Amino acid sequence: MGIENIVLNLVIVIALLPLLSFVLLLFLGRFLPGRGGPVATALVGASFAASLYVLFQVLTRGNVASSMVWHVAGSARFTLGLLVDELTVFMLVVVTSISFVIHLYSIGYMHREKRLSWYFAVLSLFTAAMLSLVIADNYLQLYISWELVGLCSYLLIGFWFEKKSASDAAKKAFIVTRLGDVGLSLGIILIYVSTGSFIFSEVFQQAEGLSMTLVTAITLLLFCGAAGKSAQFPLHVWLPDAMEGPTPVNALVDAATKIGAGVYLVARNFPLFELSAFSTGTVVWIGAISALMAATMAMVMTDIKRVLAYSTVSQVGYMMVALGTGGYFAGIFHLMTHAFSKALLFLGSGSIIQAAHVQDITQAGGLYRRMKITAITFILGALSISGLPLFSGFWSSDQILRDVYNYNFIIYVILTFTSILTAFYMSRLVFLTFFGRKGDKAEYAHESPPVMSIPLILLAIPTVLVGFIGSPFLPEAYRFFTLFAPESFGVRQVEANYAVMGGPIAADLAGILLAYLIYQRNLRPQDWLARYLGPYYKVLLHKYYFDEIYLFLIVRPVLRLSDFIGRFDLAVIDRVVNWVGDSGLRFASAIGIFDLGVIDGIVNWVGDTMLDNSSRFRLSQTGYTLNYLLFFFAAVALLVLWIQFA
Amino acid sequence: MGFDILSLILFLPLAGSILVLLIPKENKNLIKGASLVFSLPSLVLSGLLYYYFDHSLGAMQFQVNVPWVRSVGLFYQLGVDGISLPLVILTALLSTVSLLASWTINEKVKGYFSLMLLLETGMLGVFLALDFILFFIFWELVLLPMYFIIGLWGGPRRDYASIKFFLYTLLGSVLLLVGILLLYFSSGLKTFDMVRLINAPLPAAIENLVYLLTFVGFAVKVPIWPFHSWLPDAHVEAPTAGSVLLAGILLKMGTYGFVRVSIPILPGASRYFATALAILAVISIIYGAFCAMAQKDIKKLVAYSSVSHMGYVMLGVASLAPQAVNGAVLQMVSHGLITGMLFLLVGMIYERTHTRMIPELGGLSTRMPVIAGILAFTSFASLGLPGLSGFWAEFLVLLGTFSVGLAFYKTMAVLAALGIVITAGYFLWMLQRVILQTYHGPAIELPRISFRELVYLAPLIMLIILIGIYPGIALEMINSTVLAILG
Repeated sequence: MGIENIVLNLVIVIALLPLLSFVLLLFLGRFLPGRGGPVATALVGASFAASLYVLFQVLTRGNVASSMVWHVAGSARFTLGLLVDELTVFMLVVVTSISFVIHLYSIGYMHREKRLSWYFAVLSLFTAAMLSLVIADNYLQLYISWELVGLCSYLLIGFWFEKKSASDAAKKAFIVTRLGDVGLSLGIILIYVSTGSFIFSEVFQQAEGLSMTLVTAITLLLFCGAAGKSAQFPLHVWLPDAMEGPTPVNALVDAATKIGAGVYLVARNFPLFELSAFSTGTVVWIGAISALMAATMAMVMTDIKRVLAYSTVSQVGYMMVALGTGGYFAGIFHLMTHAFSKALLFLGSGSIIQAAHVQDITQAGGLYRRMKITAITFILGALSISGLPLFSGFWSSDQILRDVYNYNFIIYVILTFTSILTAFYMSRLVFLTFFGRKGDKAEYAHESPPVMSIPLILLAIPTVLVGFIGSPFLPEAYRFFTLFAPESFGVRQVEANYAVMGGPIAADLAGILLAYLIYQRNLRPQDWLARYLGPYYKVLLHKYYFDEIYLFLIVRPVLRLSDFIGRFDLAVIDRVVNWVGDSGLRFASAIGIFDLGVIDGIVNWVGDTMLDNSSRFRLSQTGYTLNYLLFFFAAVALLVLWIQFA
Repeated sequence: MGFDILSLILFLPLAGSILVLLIPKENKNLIKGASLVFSLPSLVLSGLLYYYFDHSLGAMQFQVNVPWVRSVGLFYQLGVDGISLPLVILTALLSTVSLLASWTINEKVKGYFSLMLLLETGMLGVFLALDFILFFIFWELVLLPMYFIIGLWGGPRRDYASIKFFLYTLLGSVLLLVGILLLYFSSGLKTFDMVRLINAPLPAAIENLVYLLTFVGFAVKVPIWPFHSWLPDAHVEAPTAGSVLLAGILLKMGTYGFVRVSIPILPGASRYFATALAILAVISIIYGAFCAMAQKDIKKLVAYSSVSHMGYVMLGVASLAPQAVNGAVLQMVSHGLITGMLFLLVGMIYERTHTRMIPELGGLSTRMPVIAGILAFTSFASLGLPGLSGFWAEFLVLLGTFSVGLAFYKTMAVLAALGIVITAGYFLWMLQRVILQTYHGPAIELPRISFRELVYLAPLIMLIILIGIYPGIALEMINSTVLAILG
């Protein structure tokens, strides 16, 4: 067996191990120690180890791919296949590593839950779905995994389904992304109809020959799906609500799985997007709007997890901008640095929530002394997201901004301004939670147990260090990093551009300083933001009224329409049917009356008349012989008279 | 003639139906057992049929052809191809499942089980018959037992529902018969042979007329909007097993008619009326979905969802594209499995909580986790989750419809795709109010799922997953026949 086959089989094993964990826990979960958590963690850990091996093999030996016929309908051949290239191995490592850490953390975080094995089962299925998504070599297989990802997020966001808010959030997450998925599925159908294939490589080969309109339509439809999954404007509304789910789930959704799926889709279809300037322009603008808009909302949220959720929308906006501007590296690089940082932040917030029983940052405060590991790792994550120099997030956002600077100055300004906001809301989070006035809850807070704090440390390492592989100052590391990009995309400029770099650094420092002055030194009152922003603050608190607008424009009309059609069905269609039935009955009874009154009447009349007449005739039948003789002779006399005169 | 497996499959239930009548009525368990014994062989034999069937061949197989009434060219003629075989297997499976699901029936047991077996023969006959008159006889044979099952074992409004069902479908049948006779007399072939009539030269006007006459017969059964209003009432009032067979099999008789009769025998008319049919199909999809969303009774919700889902079958039939017709036939099977399951589950919930009203339920996943979990699984199957059978059916219909070169069909495909979102909406909303949140139903002990219930649900679940993962098990034979039919 050649090394290629080993890699291919190993990739299948990587995706199957979490699936095995799902099946095992679903049926046997309650018999397993720790009700399955450790088993699931071990299996996902094995996937991670295998992913590292595959990463090494693919980077040194090149891509592997394999495909076989699945089934046939009409002239359409459906294939099953694997594509293991740089992008795939990159995603495999990110997904399995983060998922492994989250599984481990969940053993501690969720141990009091009664549906523990169900939780771990779905968590593993979620991982399996995401893994099968990134190893697919064709659109259909991708779509199937894509929907499974959606299903798992529904099940996990609604894990505490007894709460109405949680079941609402789960439903919302599924339906909003499904709306985007209609676009994706139509895009896939359009791809098949125009190229006759579902396989990525075959489609890309033929893409050059397609008309511009067609490519634009296809890529825009695909982007609908990506925007839904990655929570981009205007389909971002499900993500903040998804915070109703358990915190480790949020970490998985926001860092490695559902959110990553959308970015992956765009990255995978980079060769298609590149062909249409209109599509890439749309991707850039949607990304930029999402980045800015979500950052403004993150500034005013008081729920620690909601701040992080909006931060995710904002950061994914950066990734979309990067991909749209042709910065393929920058986009997936930021996906990685953000994934580690954001997973760390979510797990840190989970640690805070469980230790201090507080989710509202205005109620927290002074937690630093109580839980140092959580605090330090959380701060590292926040600095990375803020893009402070030397942290991972800095290197990747620097690359994005460098690409954007050459692409469109307005976008560059928007993203730089967003950097101020990002630094501000992240610092606000840190100052309010860990420093400043001691909240009431801080008294009883304590550091989380090792099963939860070790994952934080594990994530803190890549959060700080992983960015160096993309640093323009370390050419050796960078050369390693460029291995991730298919040669066809060309290697981009490596040199640092200090002018581009300077803007965001200044912006970060400004944001941090502002937050420091308000929330740490109290040089401005805590509600300074509210006063300063005035009515706009209210708009932000109401999340730009998106939920209200959708309720008003979509949800209510749909419910009213369904109510109307339901009534219409009874009142009109069914009534017509009943009317026909009743008319039949009425007609029948009319016939009955007619039958009785007319037909039968005639018959009866005839009979009656006969009877009547005969009864008169009967009078003549007297029975007296003399009478008969009288008639007889009268008749004879008349006859004689008639003969005489005729 | 050799070993006539088709007649065996067809008439074993009928023999059972008669034999059951001879058992003393006090002996309820014997009656139930005996009817199972007479239903199971048909299932096993149809499984054998699947095994020995040549899946790559598009033609009729296992044919039986015995003269019946020579003077008018009537034959006792049976056969299966890749379109009828899946439906024969589905019928045999759902019939056996329905018998198992009827174990709790305790009134007039003898009549009930006898009628169920008679119904099975009728349904099998529709899919097996290749002679038009034979086909029509079985078509009508289905009507009577179902009428009595609804009318005698049904809910409070059973009289209204059963008569509505009977008259509505009878109206369709009469026109269907007229259509068949018109076809017989105008084809000039002096035959009722459904295979030979494929080549019958018909004047366009006659062909269109025959199409319209048979259309009413089939459309009422499907049902296509606006001929659907018998369905919610019949479903709601019918006992669980009645609903299962009604949705699982009887509706497919209508769509089977389109695939078996309209497309091959009346190809010109099928093309002529395709646009209109596609519009009705899409209306059914959207309208049925909205109606389902408005319902408070789960059973009615599932009933309207059938109107919506059968719309995909009709869209596939209307588009006449190979993938879409493949999808349509697969959707018949898939919908039979999924909606059959949904009615079984609604019945199980009703037996336990004594209510089917959505606002009165909630939190069932804490009280009966297995049933709630299976309900969630089936709902996701019904809303077309990839990896389960419904996805392939709907995807193929959309793919095929979209591939037709006309903007009209592309628009229809887009509208149908939007229907999937509405479907997701009403199913998730139903799940939220029925199995999620907190339980506030009657404060009584809700029994866990029984072994018998697991036994009859398990094969359906497995088939839904199996077809989802490897659709080839059904599509291979369907595809060969569809390609043969479309020429």
